[in-house]
This record gives sequence, C-alpha cells and structure tokens, in this order.
Amino acid sequence: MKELKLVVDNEYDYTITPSDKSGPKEEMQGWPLVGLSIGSFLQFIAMDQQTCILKVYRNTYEQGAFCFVQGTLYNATFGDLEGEEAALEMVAWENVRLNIKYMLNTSDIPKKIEMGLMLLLMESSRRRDEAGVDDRVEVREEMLERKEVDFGSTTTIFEDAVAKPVAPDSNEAKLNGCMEQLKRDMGDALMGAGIINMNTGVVAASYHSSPSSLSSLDMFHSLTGYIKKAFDGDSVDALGRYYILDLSNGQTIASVLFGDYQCAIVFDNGKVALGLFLSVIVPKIIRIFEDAINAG
Amino acid sequence: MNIQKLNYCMEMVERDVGDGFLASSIVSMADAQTIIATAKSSAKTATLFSQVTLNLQKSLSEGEGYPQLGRYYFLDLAGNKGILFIPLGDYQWGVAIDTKKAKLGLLLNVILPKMLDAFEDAVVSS
Repeated sequence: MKELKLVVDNEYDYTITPSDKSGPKEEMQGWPLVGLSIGSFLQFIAMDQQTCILKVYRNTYEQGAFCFVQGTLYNATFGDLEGEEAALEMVAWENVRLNIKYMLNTSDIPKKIEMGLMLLLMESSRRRDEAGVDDRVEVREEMLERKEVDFGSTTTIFEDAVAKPVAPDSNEAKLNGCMEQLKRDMGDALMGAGIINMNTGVVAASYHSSPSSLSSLDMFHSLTGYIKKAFDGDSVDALGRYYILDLSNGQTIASVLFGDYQCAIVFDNGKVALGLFLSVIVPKIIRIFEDAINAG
Repeated sequence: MNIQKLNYCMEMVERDVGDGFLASSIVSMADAQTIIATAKSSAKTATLFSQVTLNLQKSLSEGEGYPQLGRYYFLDLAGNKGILFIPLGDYQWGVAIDTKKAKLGLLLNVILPKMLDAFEDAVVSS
C-alpha cells in the first residue's frame, strides 16, 4: 500500500503507513490521555480547520492516524486498513492517547476519504448500534445514496424525523431506551430530557440529572405549543423538526419534534458540541424513537 | 445609533451567509417596530418574532431553575428554512436562512460573533 509522506512543522519527515504500529511505548505513555471519544476530537480539528496528522494510541497494539488538510479528513490508517474503513474502525475509540503533528506541505497528499466527517461519525454510530447484525453493506449503500447530505447543513440530519402519526401505545421500554441512549452518549453533559405527547402533555419518558419535579417538562409542553401556534399562520412557515435555545448559563435546550411527540433535551454546551449533538446524537435518538413507534 | 453601521450589519450578514441568506431584520423590542431590514424581510413577520421572543423569555423565567436566553435561539422551519434570533437587549436581530445552503455551524460559530460586534459598534457610534 502506498505510503503517505508528509512534512511536519518541526522540519522532519513524518510518514504514516498502514503498518505503522511501532510507536515507542514510553513515548505513548507520555502523551495525554483524552477522555473524549475520537469522534469528538476529530470534530474539534475539523472545526478549527487544522492541517495535521493526528496519531491515535488506544493501546500498545492498536494505533492509527488521521490526516487532516484544512479541517478536511483526507486519509486514515489503522493496521492494514486505510481510508474510510480505517477511520470507521477508529472513530469509536475512547480513552485514547493522542499526538498531533502539524504539516506545512500538503500539495502531494491524495484524498482517500470522500465521505464527510459527520457522515463517517454517523456511519460509525450506526454500525455500533447494529453490531451483531451483518448488514453493514446495506447501511453503507443507504448512506452513500443520500447524495444531498451536506454535513455543514442542518436540514438532512432530521430527515428521518418526518412528522408521522404516533401510536398512543408506543413501546414504553424503547422510549426509555431513548433516554438511556442519551445518557450514554452525552454523559454528564446531559442535564435533563423528556419525551412528551404534544396533544396530551403526558410525559412518556424522562431523565433528570438532579431531583426535580416535572414542571420543566410542562414548560416545554407549553413553550413548544406556543411556538407551533405562532408559526401556524399564513405569514410564516410552520415550525419544522426542532428548535434550539441557547441559555445564558452555558446550557442549551433543544426540542426535537416527532409527529405528536417532542423530545426535549437540556445539556451543558461546554461539554457536548452542538454539531455533535445535532449530527450524531439526535439522529440516533430519532432511530430509537421510530423503532419504538413501529413496535408500539 | 449609527445608521450607516446598521446598514453595514445587514450587508455583512447577507454577504457572510452567502447563497443561503433569505432575509434579516432588527426590531425594537419596546414597540416591535423594525428599525432596519433587508429587501425580502416582512415587517409583519418581524413583529410576530419579537412576540415569540418575549414569550420565550417569559416561559423561561417562569420555568423551574432556567436562566434567560443566552446569545441566540434557532428555529427550524418547514421548507428547509430556519431562523436565527439574537436577543440584543432592547432589540432583536433575526436572520432567515435556507438550511440546505447555509451552514448552521458557520452561522453560530463565525457569523454570530461578528454580528454581535457589528451591532455593538453600531449602537455605541453616533
């Protein structure tokens, strides 16, 4: 497999190859242990438009690298894998050690990853969700067929949440599964969440990081009802699939609308990036919710 | 308030958002009157939005333990549209975008801080 040779800012040639697994253990131990998943860290690099090689050490035997040019993911290597497959393997790693080498000369770097970073993260997330089911090819084809997906754009990420009638006896366990998934994905950034029937105000599932009454969910119910009504006139378009409120204390309120239901989420935006929330976490919740509806 | 700089606010946001830009206006929260707007902005709609913001702020203040709105709120609308609202004390700036073309990340992380700076500059200048 062709080597990817890069010149880094410290004037020495740096090469990533598929077989580049032999980093000195002592050096690896000296690198910072990052408590975030790689997916989160990649988003920081992309957002910051960096041109660099990000070396990732999961343990002595599992190491890889991502190559970014001006915030765009160009290539990844892990073991014998390269390109998208290598990236998909690595983005789910957590508690990794990282090292960044900045590059000056990027003129000869071939772009081996065509999939956008957000699409990669979603694909990785989907693969993990469906682990044990051998349908990866089908999922990949489905993702590639969404040619209109633009991951800087906010429109397509909620396309799965097209309003549809919701059965009143939706599968309660699966609705609670939405909350569990939120807790897993958002960790201590999640302050509270609830799924509320917009017609009745009944809370189908909820989570609070600290003891509190459900009056907050009542607030979401009335708030969303008001906004929907305000946007129901002739002069403006109807409320779409979500709204986001940035609060003055560093928290964000997001409400995702599923037909007759809404999922209201309050989180610390200093701990979870809005891009990660909208592009990765919410689509996952939507899938679980739809499963609940179908099972209901 | 400097009118030329207010005009610059409109020009800047239209230019920075690019193809995804639909309309923008700044309204006075005291009387819900538009003080400046781009070509396709509707005074009726801008007035409605000021009422929505007041209601949001009221709901949050009545909600248990919620602070006031921070830098913005964003509504996704049908038809691949979205509106970013920026509360500015006595004023509110709204920007309507085509969500297929405009990047929310760019809007929130790059353009929003520039908008806040530009508006502040317009307010403090005479």
